[in-house]
Amino acid sequence: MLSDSKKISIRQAGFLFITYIFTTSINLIPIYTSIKAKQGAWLAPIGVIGVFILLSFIWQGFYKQYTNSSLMEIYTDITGRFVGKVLIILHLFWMFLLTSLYLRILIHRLVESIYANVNMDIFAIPFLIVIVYTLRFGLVPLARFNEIVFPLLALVFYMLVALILPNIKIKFLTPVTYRSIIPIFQGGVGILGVFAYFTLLFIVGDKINNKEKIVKTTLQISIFLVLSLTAIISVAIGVFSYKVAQRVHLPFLIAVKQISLFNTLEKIESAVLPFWLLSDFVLICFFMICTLSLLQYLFNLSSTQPFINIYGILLFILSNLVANNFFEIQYFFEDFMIYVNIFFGFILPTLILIIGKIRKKV
Amino acid sequence: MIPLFILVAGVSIFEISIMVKKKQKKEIIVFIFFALITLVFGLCYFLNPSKKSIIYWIMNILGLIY
Repeated sequence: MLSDSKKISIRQAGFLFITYIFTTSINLIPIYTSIKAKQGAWLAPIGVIGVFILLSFIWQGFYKQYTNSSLMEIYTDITGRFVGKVLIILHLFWMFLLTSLYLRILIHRLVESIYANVNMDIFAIPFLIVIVYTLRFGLVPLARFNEIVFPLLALVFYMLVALILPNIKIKFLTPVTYRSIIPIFQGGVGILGVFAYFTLLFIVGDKINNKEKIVKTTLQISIFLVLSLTAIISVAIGVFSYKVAQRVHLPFLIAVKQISLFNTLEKIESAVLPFWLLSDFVLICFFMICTLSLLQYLFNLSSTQPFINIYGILLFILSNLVANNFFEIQYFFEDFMIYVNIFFGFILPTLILIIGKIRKKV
Repeated sequence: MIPLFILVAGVSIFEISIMVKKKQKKEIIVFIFFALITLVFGLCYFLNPSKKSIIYWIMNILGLIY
C-alpha cells in the first residue's frame, strides 16, 4: 500500500496503543489480577497474549478486502446500513463514557498521589485546554508526538522497575502450581479487557498506512506488552503481597514510593508522574479523536473541527459526573467495563468477520 | 453555572459563525444538539454536584449493586 503523509504508519499506531493502555495497566490491572489470580497474577499476561495475537489476525483478515476503510465503514458494509449505524451509536456512547472516565482517573491519580485536598478542576481545565488545542492538528502530530513520549515512558518505567527490584520478595510471587492455572486465566480476563482497546485503532483505520503488516507489528508489540505487564504486576504484588495489592489504590505508585537508593534518592514518584501524565494525554487525545470520527461517520459530517471545543466542555462536565470516587471506578472496571471492552474489542470484530465470511464480503 | 452558559454561548457563536460562512447546515444542527446536551449535563452537575454518578446509575440499572 502506498504511504500517505496525512496518515500514520501501523508502527506508529502500535506505539499509540502501547501508550494509551499504559494508564489502565498501571492503575487497574494490578488490583484486578491480584484479586483473581493471587500470587500467580504476574503470569496472567502470558496466559492471554495468544488471544491478543488472534485479534490481529482478525483485523488483518478485514483489511485484505477493505484496504482503506475505517471500522465504521467495514461494520456498515458487512452488517448493513441499519445494524451498522446501531453499532456505531453503541461505540459512540461507550467512547464518551470511557474518555470521561479516563479523565477522571487521571485527576484522581494526581489528587490521591501528590496533590491531596486540591480542587480537581484545577487539573482538569488546563489539561483539557491543552488537549483541545492539540486536537486541532489531528492524528498525525499526535502519533509523531507519541514517538517521543513512548521511548521516554518505557525508559522511565524500566528504570523504576530496576530500582524497585531489590524490594520484590520472591515469596510473594510463589507458589504457582497447576491449581493456579484457572485463576491465572481469570486474571487474564482483565488484561484482555485492556488489550481490547487495540480495536479502537481501526476507528481511524482509514488514516493508517501499511495495514498489511498488522500481524507482524502486533507480534512485536506483544513481546513488549507481556514484559511490561508482567513487570507492573510483579512489582505491585512482589513488594506488598497480593493481599495488600488488591486492597490499595494505585499499588504500582505505592511501590514506587518505596524506592530508596542508598537512603539519598527518595520520593521520586513526583518526578515520574509527569511522564505518566503524557500517557494520559495521549490516551485522552486519541479517544477524543475516535469519538469525533464516530460522530463524523454517523452524521456524515464534512469536518469535526467545529466540535472539538464543545466536546472539551462536555468532557469536563462528564468527567465530574461519571464517578464520585475511585472505589466506583474500580468496581465499574471489574464488574462491567472489562466485559464491554471485550465485547467491542474481541467478540464484535470476530462476529462481524464470521458474518463477512458467510456473506462473502471478506 | 453562569460561566458555563457564557462559555457554551461563546464557543457556539464562534463555531456557528464559521459554519454559516461555509454553509454547513448539517454541522450546525449537530453542533446545536451537542451544545444543548452540554448545557443539560452542566445543569445536572452544577445544580447538585454531589449527586449520584453516571457509573452508579449504570450499575444500578444493570443490577450490579456494589
